[in-house]
Amino acid sequence: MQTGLTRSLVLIAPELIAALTALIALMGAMLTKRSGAKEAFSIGIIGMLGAAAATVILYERLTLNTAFHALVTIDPFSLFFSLIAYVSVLYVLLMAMDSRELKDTQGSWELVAILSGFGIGMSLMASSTNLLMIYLSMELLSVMSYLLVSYTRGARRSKEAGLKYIIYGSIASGFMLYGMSLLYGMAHSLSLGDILIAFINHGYPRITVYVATLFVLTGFGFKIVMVPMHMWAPDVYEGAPTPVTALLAVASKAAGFAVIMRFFYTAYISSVSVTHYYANVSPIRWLLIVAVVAAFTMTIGNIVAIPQNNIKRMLAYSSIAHAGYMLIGLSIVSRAAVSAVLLYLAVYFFMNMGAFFIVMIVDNSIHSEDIDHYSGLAQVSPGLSAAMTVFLFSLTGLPPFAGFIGKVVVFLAAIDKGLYWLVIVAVVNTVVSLYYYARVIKKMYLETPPEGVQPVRVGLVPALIIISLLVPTILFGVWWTPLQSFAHFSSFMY
Amino acid sequence: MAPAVTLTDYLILSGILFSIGVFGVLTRKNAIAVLMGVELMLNAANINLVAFSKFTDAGVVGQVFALFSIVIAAAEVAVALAIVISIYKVTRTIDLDKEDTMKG
Amino acid sequence: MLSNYLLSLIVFTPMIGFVLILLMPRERVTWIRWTAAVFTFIPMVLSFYLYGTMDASSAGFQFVEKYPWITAFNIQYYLGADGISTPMIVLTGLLSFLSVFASWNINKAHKAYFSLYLLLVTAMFGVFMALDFFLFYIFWELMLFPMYFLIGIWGGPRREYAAIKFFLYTLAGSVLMLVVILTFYFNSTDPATGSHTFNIVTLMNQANQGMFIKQFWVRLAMYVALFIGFAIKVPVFPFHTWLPDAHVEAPTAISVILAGVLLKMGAYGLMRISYPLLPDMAAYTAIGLAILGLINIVYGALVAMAQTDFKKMIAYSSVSHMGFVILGLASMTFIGFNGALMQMFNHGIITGMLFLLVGVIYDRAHHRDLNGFGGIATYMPVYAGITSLAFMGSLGLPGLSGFIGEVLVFLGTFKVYPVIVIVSATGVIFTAGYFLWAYQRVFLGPPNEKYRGIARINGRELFTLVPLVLIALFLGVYPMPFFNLVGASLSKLLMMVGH
Repeated sequence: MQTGLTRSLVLIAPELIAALTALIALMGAMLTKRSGAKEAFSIGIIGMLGAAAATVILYERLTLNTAFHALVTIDPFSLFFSLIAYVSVLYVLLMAMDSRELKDTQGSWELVAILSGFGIGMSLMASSTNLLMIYLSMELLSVMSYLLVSYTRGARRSKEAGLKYIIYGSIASGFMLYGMSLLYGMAHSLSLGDILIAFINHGYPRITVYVATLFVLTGFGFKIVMVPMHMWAPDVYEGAPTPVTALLAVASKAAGFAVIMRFFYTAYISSVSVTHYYANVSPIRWLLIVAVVAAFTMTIGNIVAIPQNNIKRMLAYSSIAHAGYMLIGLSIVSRAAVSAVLLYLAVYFFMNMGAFFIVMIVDNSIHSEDIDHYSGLAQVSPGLSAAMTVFLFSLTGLPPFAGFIGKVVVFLAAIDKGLYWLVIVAVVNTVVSLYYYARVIKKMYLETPPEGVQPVRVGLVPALIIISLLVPTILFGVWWTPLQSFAHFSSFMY
Repeated sequence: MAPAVTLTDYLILSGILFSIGVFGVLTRKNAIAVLMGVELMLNAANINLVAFSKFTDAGVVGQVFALFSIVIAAAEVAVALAIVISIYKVTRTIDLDKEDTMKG
Repeated sequence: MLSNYLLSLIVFTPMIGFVLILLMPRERVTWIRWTAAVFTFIPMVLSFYLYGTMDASSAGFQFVEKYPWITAFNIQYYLGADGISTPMIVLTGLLSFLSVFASWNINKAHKAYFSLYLLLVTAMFGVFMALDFFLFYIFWELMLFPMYFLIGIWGGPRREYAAIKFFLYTLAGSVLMLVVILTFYFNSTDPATGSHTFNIVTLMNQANQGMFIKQFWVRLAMYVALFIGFAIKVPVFPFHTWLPDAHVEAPTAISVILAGVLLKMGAYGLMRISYPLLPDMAAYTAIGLAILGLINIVYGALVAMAQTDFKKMIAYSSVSHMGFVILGLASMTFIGFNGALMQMFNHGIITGMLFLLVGVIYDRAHHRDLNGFGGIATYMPVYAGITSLAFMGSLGLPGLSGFIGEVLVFLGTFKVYPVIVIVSATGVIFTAGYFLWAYQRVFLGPPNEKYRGIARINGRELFTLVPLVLIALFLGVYPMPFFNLVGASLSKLLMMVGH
């Protein structure tokens, strides 16, 4: 369905607002002499709030779908991710204001511009239904991320992380582009819908389809930190400034999942009716491959997390494991599975942001990310430790926290289609993950603090931010119907 | 008369270029060399896109995509080189093996 | 009117205490303690009321509360009590109240301790009352992290190790249970709505179970998976290795709760879930269960005999006594079931008493070495008297409640597995052996000079012990109230497993 230009512009209103924010930030960078941190962040926060609000409004009143000659499709699915995008950037801005690592840089205006660009990239990634658009938005996201990871003033590991990230990332995008070119060659079109029709009507040489899909999947898999494209994550997560790590762990991963789901559901799976999906086009058992990858991803993530001493590295491996759990949702074709992944992502946002935020606050105070230095934190800063405990238990997947609900809905979708073995792997992994999450909790509560440790100072605004992440983590563990409805409704892809 | 250059020839060319690029990426230690490898990969894909666009009825979008890809590749390399320079200022080396301090 | 909300009140009153304690300043230790006492007193009284107003002749669930909760997955907030769960509820109420007073000596972070304690109490009540599988699971898991902290922070020298061992072990069992729960969900049909359900009562009706889970191997796998989850809690050999560490390192009150209530949940799970939902599998594996019960009884007793740590001895005696419960459940007879359930209740009372008693001497002597005492009876006569009663009850002396439970288990099982009963009887002899030997070492003989000035048992400690003593005596002589309560529900259970 084609739509006119005005209608198209209205549909991407959130992105326009974010772009405007970026422009203002860039102008601010050029026009003001000082770094002007407060003003820059304020503009950024207002901009992201505006974009998020526009997303919500669009969500409520959505009628038409495609925009710009079907390059982009704005549907509940894409708006779900847009919302996560702008809210994530919002939280990261709030985090960045307090970050010791980012405080030293001069470029607060540029930071806001880069983050806004990131938000646009993510939002567009979720809406793209055309190979070109996917590539463009993904590169926008990636380049912004590369910049963000290195965005410190001379911190060596941050630059190193940035270098590793951009090298791995551009290799992945090279693979992806090549794969896309092959798909284009087969289907004679860049539009995902046309690719589907081409698959249905023609029989392509299996090897070509295989290679093309695998290459494209490499590019996407890099973003979601899927094994075997996961090697960059620990170093990059550790080296990047903590707010950026949080952004990568939550938003970048969500964007990757969005694009994978959109890509596979639109180009590879023919929907017979709105409520049933049939995977039939490709002759290769993709689902089994994804399931096996999921199993490896969660297992490797969990096992390598155990010996980690740096909490950011541990959380990096844990986020690899979580990508594995979410991949379970991708190895099933059903509305319930898509809905489950969305719910998991939403829940993951709250708990992961919260965990990283606390890591940053603690690091601001004790200048360390070493888990051993968390000893006795509970006696010194009880509130902060309690919040961290909630986030960590939620990440493990224990009731009554939201993390448990995320796992349960994914398991439900998996068992519905009979993937018992995968669920058993996942629950065993859950028990394993308890071991390393509990290690942090054990340090905080069961050990005595070293001499002369001061309580971690938490300002009012950071405390409010933590509470705003803590409450949903607990609330959605008990009353998750609203989230479930939201995720279910957002699983509609036009 | 020389035989006409067909689509297959271009595909083979791009395949070879891509492989060279991958090889370069995997084996070289110099950061700049790795970036050159990446460039080869990206351009191989571009060749594919343009070739498909010319030799089949796939329309002109392929060439459009290739243009976009060139621009983005340029931007990416610019950022990459900026990062390389900034790390060079600190470590005085662009040898990737030596810049692997984070372990685990 | 009250009966409409009785169960929810029992479950959530401690939560109110939890919230209140969180809001109190941490220095107000007295307030915190008494809040915990009040908010366990109320559920205890309510549980007595529950017992009093239960219609013993009805086998079904009473005081049912059923509300939709997460409609997208047909999850309901569904509570109910019957003859099987009511003794457990009363036990939980009584022990959780008394253990607050056993926690009076906790010397650090009172706010955290009592708030976590109340959270634990809520979870325990919830497990015994939940009739929706998902709700059951949430309450079951909710017990884990308070226990982790309660053992890990306020426990003995090896508390960290014991706590994480407990946590990992129990979590492993629970996640297996989760897979089974989800399998049941997708293979169930709610007759009213035609959709899947988590409703345990609906699932008890075999007609509502789907085709997939009618297959033998699937059912067996599910039964085994559930069994492992429950067996870890009971604990059944060989899944018992977490227990000695957890018991020894936990503070006194938590040991009482652990032994008195938490261990019962495994057996309760078998009776509430495994047997009704998979009765054919229960019958099929009964012989295996009986053998495991036998191993528990004899092995537990033998290892207990070898212990020199007072608390560890009692921990292994717990393993041994729970073996009776398992044996009784394996017998699939009415008498055996009665014995098992009675033993569950008695074990809670008597072992609870035992741990309280250990706590008394540990508070004074700061060690639990059985060989390090001697002639304590001279210095603490009342204490010695109560301990002798507890030991006698635990080894099954007629006149005390422990005897009734054990004898009924043997009577019921003898019809079915006579050989196993005969071998288990040796366990009784060993039990008498280690208890009497321990008593002789600690209380009798020449008085140990080191303890000449030891403090007598005080009022608070007596307060925690006397109710348990009275119950042990009463039920030992007149157990009919118990059997009247549980009879109907146990008959129904028996019918469900096809006997």
